[in-house]
Amino acid sequence: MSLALVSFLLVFLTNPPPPTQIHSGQAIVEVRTDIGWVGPGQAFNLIVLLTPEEGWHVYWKYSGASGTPTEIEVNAPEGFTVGKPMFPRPSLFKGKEGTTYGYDKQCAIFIPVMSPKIIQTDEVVFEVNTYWLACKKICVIGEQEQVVKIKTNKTIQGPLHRDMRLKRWKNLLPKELSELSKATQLVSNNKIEITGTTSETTISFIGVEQRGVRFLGTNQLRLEKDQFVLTIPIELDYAAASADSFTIEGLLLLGGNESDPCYVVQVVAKPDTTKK
Amino acid sequence: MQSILKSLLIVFSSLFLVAAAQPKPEPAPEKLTAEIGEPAPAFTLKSQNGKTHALSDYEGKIVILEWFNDSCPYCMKAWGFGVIPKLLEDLEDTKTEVVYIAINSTANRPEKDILKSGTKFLAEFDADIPMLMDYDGEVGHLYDAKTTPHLFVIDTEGVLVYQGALSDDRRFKKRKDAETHVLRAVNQIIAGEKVVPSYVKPWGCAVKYSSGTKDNGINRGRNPGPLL
Repeated sequence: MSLALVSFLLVFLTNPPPPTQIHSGQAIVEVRTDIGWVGPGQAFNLIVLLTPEEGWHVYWKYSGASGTPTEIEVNAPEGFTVGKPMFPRPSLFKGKEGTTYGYDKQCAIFIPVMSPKIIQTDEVVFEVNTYWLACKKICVIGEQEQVVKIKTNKTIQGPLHRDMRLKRWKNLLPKELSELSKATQLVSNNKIEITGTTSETTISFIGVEQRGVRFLGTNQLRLEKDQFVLTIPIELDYAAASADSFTIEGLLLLGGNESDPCYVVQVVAKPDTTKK
Repeated sequence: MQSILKSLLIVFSSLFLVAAAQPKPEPAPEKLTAEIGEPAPAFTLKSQNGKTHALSDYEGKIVILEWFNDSCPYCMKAWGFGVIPKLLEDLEDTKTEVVYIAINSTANRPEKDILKSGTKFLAEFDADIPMLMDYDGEVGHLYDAKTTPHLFVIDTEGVLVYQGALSDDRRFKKRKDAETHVLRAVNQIIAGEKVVPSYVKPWGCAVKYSSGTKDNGINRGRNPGPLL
């Protein structure tokens, strides 16, 4: 009996208890790159795959009426420059508190990186921290730190991964507005006006609110044949932002599906241009 | 002559009936939602102790409303990391009469459970503040409260002067050392300054009024006619 007890204690003490399950934040994060290795002066992407659990959703870089934006921080090796994360087109979730923007299935967030002209190590390590809020009936904060190691070559730039998913994910990212036929963007008299040509009749806009910039009222869409004019009422408060100008950001959405195209709208507003 | 009078009577009667059938012009609706620079909408709600609280009870005082949900991780952190407890201390230090009220519009669980867990939560922080129950969300919608936490500051004149985020530290990196927009607004009121900014986009969990739906942007724009 005592032998059994000793054996049990030995087994118990030599085998650590199973790790405590850390709350996942109701989403899974995976980080990868789009290249086989990195060479000098090479542009590539870190890709954060954020997959909410069934029935849950996470938020876009601007969450909308409520919620909290998904944020990504990258600690890069010396000499590497990291750009702003590029989020795919979000879905719209309508709740009693208003409309929010986010994803209820996997989204691939691209983070552009540029390597230095001289690489001295055989491997570089990136630390990627992702923060999100996942909501269903309740909300859960998620946070995950991931390390990505990439082999380097001091002379030759690395090849792009031959993965069809990369192409698909990239296609879901917003395009530059200049890629839309006959596109123009103008800010005046507390409104933004976007014009362009498309065969789509469902055209909408998501404005990214910032200190001093609010999107109020209903957007007005005028269509004639394949031309459209979308007018977005805005309210600018330079005093609130302690700024002389604003770079107003948003997303022009064509069509009603997540895979339909969307375009980045970026327009600078100054007091002179908004007063009549 | 009699037939003419009869005809006139019929015509006038018809006109009267038509006029009576017309819908009476409705008086202009009162502004129903909270707006910066406007009087804060009145409300009366019951607290966790069953006491009735009306906004008008606090006339002449600065009133702070925090939309609150004890099961929201942002409220948990705002309280647990000491941001709101420190704010309450700082407000006391202003030596001004400031009333801090938590409003609970959460409706994703039975009301008695929400009342119980919210009461327990505040008791754990020794927070001697009323938690007003707004289960039907009427006051939440009146104020257009979107997140928990979502803060509103009402000045001594009863005017809404700030609404929005608790602070800019939504990831709680600074924890209780974060400067809050609420204290900033209160200090601006005390100093007789204009409260600027009067709005900072709130962050946090959505107020759990009820479940929502998903779409992808359809019918967001209106088409008032052809291009000019």
